[in-house]
Order: sequence, then C-alpha cells, then structure tokens
Amino acid sequence: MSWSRGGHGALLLAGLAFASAAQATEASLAVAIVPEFRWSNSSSVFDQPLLGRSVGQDRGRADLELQWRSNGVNLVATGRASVREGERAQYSGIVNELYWDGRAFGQHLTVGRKIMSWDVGFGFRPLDVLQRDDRRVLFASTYEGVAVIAWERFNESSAWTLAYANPGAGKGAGPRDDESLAARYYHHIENVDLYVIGRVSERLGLEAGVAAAVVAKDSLELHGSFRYQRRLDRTLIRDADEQAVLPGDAPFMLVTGHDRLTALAGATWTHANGLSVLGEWWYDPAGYSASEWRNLLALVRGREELPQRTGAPPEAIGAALAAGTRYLEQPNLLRQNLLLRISHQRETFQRSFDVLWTPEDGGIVATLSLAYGWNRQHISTGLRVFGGASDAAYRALPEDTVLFCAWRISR
Amino acid sequence: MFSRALRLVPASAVAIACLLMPWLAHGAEVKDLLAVADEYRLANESMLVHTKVELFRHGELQRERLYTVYTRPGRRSLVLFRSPSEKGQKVLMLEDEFWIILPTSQRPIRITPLQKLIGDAATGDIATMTWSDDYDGVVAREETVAGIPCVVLDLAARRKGVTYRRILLTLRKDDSRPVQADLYVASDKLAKQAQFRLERRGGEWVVAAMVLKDLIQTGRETVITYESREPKTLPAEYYNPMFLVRNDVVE
Repeated sequence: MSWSRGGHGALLLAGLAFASAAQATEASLAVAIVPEFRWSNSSSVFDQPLLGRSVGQDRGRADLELQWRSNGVNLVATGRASVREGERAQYSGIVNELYWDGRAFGQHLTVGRKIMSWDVGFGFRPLDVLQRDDRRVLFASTYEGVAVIAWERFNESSAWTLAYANPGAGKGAGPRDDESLAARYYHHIENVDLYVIGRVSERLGLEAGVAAAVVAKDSLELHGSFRYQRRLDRTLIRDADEQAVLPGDAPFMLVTGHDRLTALAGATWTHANGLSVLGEWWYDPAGYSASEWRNLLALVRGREELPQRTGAPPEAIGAALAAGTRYLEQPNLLRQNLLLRISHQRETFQRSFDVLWTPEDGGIVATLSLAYGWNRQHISTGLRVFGGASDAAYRALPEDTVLFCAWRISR
Repeated sequence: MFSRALRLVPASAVAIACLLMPWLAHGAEVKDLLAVADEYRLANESMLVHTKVELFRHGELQRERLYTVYTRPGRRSLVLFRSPSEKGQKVLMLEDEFWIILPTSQRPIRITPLQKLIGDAATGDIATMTWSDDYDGVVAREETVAGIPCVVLDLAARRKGVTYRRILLTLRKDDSRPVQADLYVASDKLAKQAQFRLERRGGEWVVAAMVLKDLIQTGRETVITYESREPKTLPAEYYNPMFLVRNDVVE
C-alpha cells in the first residue's frame, strides 16, 4: 500500500499501535542501497519508442525500512528514493504490513495489511492466491501485504485460515487487488505438510488447490502444488487475417479461458558441507505458448507495414502494440518453466547460481549471486543474463544483462 | 526332541538375562546420569532461555547473535532470532521435523535436518537442551580431567534429526556436572569439541555457557551463553508450524 492509495484501515491500526505504545515495544531500522546497472539488447524488437521509456538505463534505490511491533500490532513501512539514469529522483512510501494479530472472543484474528503466502514453492507459487508476487526478483525486499480480515484456528497438527481480502474493493486493478474470500486448511500427517486452499473472486471465479511438502531423507525435501481456476483472462494476438480489421480494433483480443490448471513440482537436496540444490518445474497457463510469442514477435517486427496493410493510423497501432508489451512484466513469460539453483553457504558467505529454462522456446535466464553478512551489515551482488534460442521470448527482452549490488545495515 | 528343546528355553532365558544384566544396568545408569546432567542445562521441561552466540575466529570476535528459545516436553523448541540482521526469523523444531520462517516472505518453509546445520551456529546447538531424550549409550571409561575424577559416556543418537550422531560426553563423577564433549557428525567425523562453563545461580549449579571449538574449520570457536532461564509454558498452538506467521503478544 503506497501513501497515495489511501487506507483508512491503516490509520485506524496506526492509532491502535500508538495507543499501545506504552506496552512492550520492539523497533528496528534498516537501510538498503541497491544500485542496478542495465544493458540494452540491441537485437530486441521491443525498442524505446514502442515501450515509451528508455531502455538500458542504470537505476538505483535507497530504502529505509522501519519495523515496529507492540502488543500484537505489527508495522513494516518503507521510505524509498528511486533514481533512473538521466532522471530526477522520485520518493515514495510503502506500508508493507500494518496489522493486528490477536485473540478476541477466544478466536485468533488478524486485521490489516499482512503478507499471506500459502504455497510451498520457491520459483513460483501456485497457491499464493492472495499474495501473487514475482518470486524471482534480483534483490528481494519485504513484500507488500494484502488487506485482510482473517480468522484462524489451530490445534496440534492442523490449522484453518479463513480470509476476507480487500474488503469492498470489488474487481480491482489485478487479481491481488480483487475483493475475495479465501480459505486454507493445513494438516501435518506423518512426515507430510498438506495444504488445501480455495478462493472465490469476481475475476477468476473459483480457485482451488492442494500442496504438499515432505522431508524424504535427512538431505532431501520434496514439494508440489496444484491449482484449478474456473476462469482465466488472457490477451492474445489475433490471427494475421483478423488483424486486417484495424483500425477500430487492436491486434490483441481478450480471451476468457475456463477450467485452467497450474502446477509445480520441486525438490531440495542439501549436503552437510553447505551445498544445496533446488530443482523445480512449473506450468502457468497465464504465460504465452512458444507459438503465441512467435506471433507477438512477428507482429512487432512487422509493425512498420501495418499502417499500409490495415489503413490504421500509426499512432493507434503504436499504442496498441505498446499495450501488448505489458506481457513482458509477467512473472512467467512462458507456460512451462524449469529452474535449477545451486548454492553454497559457509558461515554467512553464500554464493549461488541459477538457471531458468523455458523448454517450449529454449529461453534462458541465468543468475549468479554472492552475499556476505556481518553483525549488522549485509552485502550482495549479482549478475543476471537473458538469452537462449534466437526466437526465445527471454532472448527478445529489451534488456539482456542486469548487474546489481546491495548493501543493507540494520539497527 | 521338541520337548527337549522346550525344557532348554527357561535355562536359555536365564543365561541370556544373566548376559544382558550388566548391559541393562549400565544402560539404566547412563540414562540416570544423562537425566542429572540435563538438569544443569534445563531445570524444567518448559522453559524460556535467552541465549547469546558469539563467533570467534583465531580469538577475534566476528559476530554476535541473540536468540530466544522456548522449550516444551516432547522435544519441541521454538527459536526466535533477535539480532538486528536476523530479526523476525523463527525456527520450529518438533522432534525430528523443522520449519523456518523468514520475515521477507512470511511463510513456514519445511527444512531438512541437514539444512538445520547450515548457517552461523547450528540451530540444534541452540535449541537442543537435553541429552536423555535423544541419546542412548554406555559408560566408556573413567578418567581425570583437570584433577577431577570423571566418567566418559559414549552416546549414540536414537533419532535421525539430532545435530550430532555420536557424543563422547564427560561428566564429573561426583555430581554428573557436564565437563566436556566430543561431537561427531553423520560421517562419524569429530566435528566439534565442547567445554561447559558452570556457575552458581540461585544456589544451584547451572551450565552458564558452552564453548564449541570447530575441528573442521580450524580457528573457529563458538561461545553459547545462556543469559537467563525461566520456567515458561507457551500455549500449544505456538508449536503449530502455521502459527509461525502470527505475531501475537506472548513473546
């Protein structure tokens, strides 16, 4: 929740927090400085005029994160200064979490904005039906929670959660902003963590899923999850013949699919010397297929011919194509994804290398990172490269290399 | 022939029992010794222990970490990380099963026993406060340490989730106060040597600190100081993995 998005509930909780300030209180501060250096992809069809923004700009941000808690009231807030190469700095404030956890009438309740992660995966989380964050950002800062009123019940080996998310919001800007009712049941049986979830919202209808995590051996953990959703809206490219209807219509069309399945399976293997290997496969029906990406790339490549072919004004075509580039922001560009991550930790020094491979089109995202921590300080650096086969979606991104550094100090 | 065999059964049982008696007596003795030794670390079954962990390299302090540990009967522990750089992390140990929660993502992650060992200090070193629940063993020998008569117990893990598969534990012969321990990991490699520092608190001897000398990464030493202990029983739901995401008041 940014300052500009209002939030009377936040003010109410802030009032509660200050009212209880006389009680036992914990507070901490952290400062993070994260410069990013980006290189543009000269062979990409998604160029600056199409995207409406500069490509390959270096950027950076400085975050001041406050954590404060008192008597069940919990606050995580971030003040952020962001800057892009050649532009003026921008300042923003984010309330990552502001909620009250406590008991009332003998029940466990949560009211406020809270991170609600429900899945067992690492690279992708099908059962995160409320949170829905991109899990593969270069430098993870605290996520932004979801506005909820939640009831929970616990016994020795099981737990129930019932959450009413984004009360009164109706159909929001995206699925995570939608008003919805969600439930989770957790059961620990033998050696297995079992999760069953359900969610109902106007946009997606019913979603239902199961997940499990099990420690099969001292060194081996297995996990998997599976989600059904009644509706899925996707923006697809019209066939070449249909594109001739321009102007008056965009080359894209919204297609509502039904009864879609999302799945993830993975394993973690660890050695006593600190070596750890994570392997995951997932299928996300919200991503494009290889042929859909080829259509999009062909459409963008041939955009200069479209005005002659269709008679549409170039501005209208440019705007329509630019709207289509929002697909570059999706967590999963392709439906099928394979992730392999190898990491090694010794004391507080960690190095890791991971590769995301999209088998449908041969795309690759490779990331190398190093991290080291002291008492209060933590530094990390990483390099991410996008590439793969010549017509792969990741190969066509407007930027092909990102180098980041991060320094964080906590008090 | 069958009836002759039956007649031999009682005699055989007596003979086997005679053979086992010293071992059984020894096992019972070791169990008693461990129970007494445990009381120097954990006087009550449900406790709140504030712990400081200092990591030294070649005698120089590298890092300091603070933890709050809740224990409960049935080998259940909840570890809350208190240092500024780790604040918000929690580890839950239920017998041989482990979960961790990181503040950035707020979800309980199931971890393997080996993942528990990775990091600054093995979580088991911090959260595990008893030997009698986790180990069986025999009296290996008697010896004198710094002029004090001691007994050395050779302990083998009864469960797969413990941090050390084998411990050679040295206790004072007169009152079973722990003196030192050789700690072996799964590969039967001697990984660490522990020295116990005891002091009188409230008229009772307690283990005030444990000094762990790393024999694999030489020059490293970890000092675990038990700053305070008090009887405390958390409600049962705190030991449910899903409760880790809650930040209710009790802590």
